[in-house]
Amino acid sequence: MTAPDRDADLLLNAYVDGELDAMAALEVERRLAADTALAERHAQLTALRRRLRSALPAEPAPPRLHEALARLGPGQMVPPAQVVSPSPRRPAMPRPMSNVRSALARQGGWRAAAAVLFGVALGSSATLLLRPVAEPPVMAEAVADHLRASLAPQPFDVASSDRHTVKPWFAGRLPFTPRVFDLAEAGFPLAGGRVDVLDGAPAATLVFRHGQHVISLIAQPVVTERGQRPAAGGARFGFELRSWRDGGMAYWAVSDVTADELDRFVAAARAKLMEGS
Amino acid sequence: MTEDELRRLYAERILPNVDPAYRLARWLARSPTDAEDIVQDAALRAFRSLPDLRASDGRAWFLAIVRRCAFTFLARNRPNELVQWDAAEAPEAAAAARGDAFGAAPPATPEAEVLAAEQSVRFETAVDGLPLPFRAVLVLREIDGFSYAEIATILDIPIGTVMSRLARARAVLMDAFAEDRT
Repeated sequence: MTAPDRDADLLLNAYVDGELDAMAALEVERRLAADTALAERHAQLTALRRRLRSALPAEPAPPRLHEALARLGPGQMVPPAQVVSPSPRRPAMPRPMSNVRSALARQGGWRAAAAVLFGVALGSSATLLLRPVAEPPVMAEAVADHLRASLAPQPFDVASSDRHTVKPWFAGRLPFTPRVFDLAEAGFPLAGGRVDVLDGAPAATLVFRHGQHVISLIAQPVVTERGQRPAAGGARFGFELRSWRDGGMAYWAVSDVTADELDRFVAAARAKLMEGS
Repeated sequence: MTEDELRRLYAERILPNVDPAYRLARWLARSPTDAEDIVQDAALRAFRSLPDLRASDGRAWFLAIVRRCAFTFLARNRPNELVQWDAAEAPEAAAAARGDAFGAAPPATPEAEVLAAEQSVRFETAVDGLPLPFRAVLVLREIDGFSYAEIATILDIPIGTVMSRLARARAVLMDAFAEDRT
C-alpha cells in the first residue's frame, strides 16, 4: 500500500468510526461517490463491522465478579459465608518464577482466605487511605502491601522454603542484601519472598506460613538511625502489625494471626537475626 | 477525601465499568477466569488511586488501570505476547497478523467443519488469534465502542497508532473472510 493509499485507508476507517468532523466527513463522502474502489472498500468495512457486532457479543462480567467488587466499598463488610467460591482455574502455562509450589499457594484454600481478608480488611479500607495523622504512613503501607499480596494468586514472587534459593533471588532485585532465614522449628516455615515498596523505597519481604495464615516480614534499610528498638505496633485495619529496628534495618511483621502468635513470631525472628548468618 | 466521597467515587467511576473492564481483560488475557483476577486487582488499585482522580478523567481511567494489570499478568505468565507490543508497526507484524488470524489448524472432522461454519465461532477464533497489539484496539472499538481518544488513553499509545493498528486489524480480518458472501 502506498502512502496516500494508507492515509485514505485510515481516513476511511475514521469515517466509519464517526471520528471525523463534519467537513472531513463530507470530503470522504465526496470521494466515495467518485471512487468505486474506495466505495467497495467502504462496503467491505461496514459489512465486517456488522458481522463483528453480531459475532462478538458484549458478554457481561460474571455475577460473582460484580458481587466481589460491590463488596469492595468502604464500610461494607461481608460475612465469610458469602466468600467468592473457589473455582478450578489456574492457567495450564507454568509461571516462570515459581518451580516449587507450597501447599498454601493452591486455589481453593487460598482464594477463600484471600476473600475473607478482602471482606474483613476492606471494610475499613478507607482508613488505609485516611492515614492517622500522628502515625508514620509506612505503617499503613506495610499493611496495604501485605493485603495486596494476599489478594494476588500467591503472596510471593519466589516460592521456596530454602533460603539458598530466596536470598540470591533478592540479589538481582534490591540495592541491599536482606537476611533470609527459616523459622520452621518455631512453627513458622518460610514460604517465599517478594519485593515490596515502602515509603517510595524497595523493601524485601519474607513470607512465612502459620497454619492457614500468612505472615509478611518486610525489611528495609534505615538510613538515619542505629541501635535496637522494642517491637511496637498493635492491631491495624484488621491485621496485627509489629515494627522494630535491629541494627541498620527496619522490620514490619504483618499478619492476620492473633496478637500472641505474632508476638511469638517476632521473638523468634529477632532471636534468629541476633544469631548472625 | 472523606469516606463518603470515596464511596461515591467508587460507585460512580469503577462499578459501572466492570463489564467493559472484564471484556478487555478477557480479550487481553484470553481467559475468562484470569480476567476475573485481573479485574479484581485493578479494582483494588483503582480504589487506592481514587484520591488522585481528576474530574476530567472518564471511564478510560479505570480501563487503563485494567490494561496495566492485564499487562502485569501477561508479563508474569506469557511474556512472549508482550514482546509484540512495541513491534506492531513493523511490516512483518502485519504479515504475522494475517497468519495468526487464519489461526488454528483447519478443522479435521466433518463435525468440526460444521461447527467452524458457524460464523461467530470463526470470528471469535480469528480475533482471538490476532496478535495482542491488533486485538486490543479492535475489541475496544468493536465491542465497547470506545473512541479513538479513549483507546489511546487506555492503551497508552498515540492516536495515530490506534488508527493504524485498527485499520490493519480490520484489513486482516477482511482478507481472512473475503470468500464469504453473507
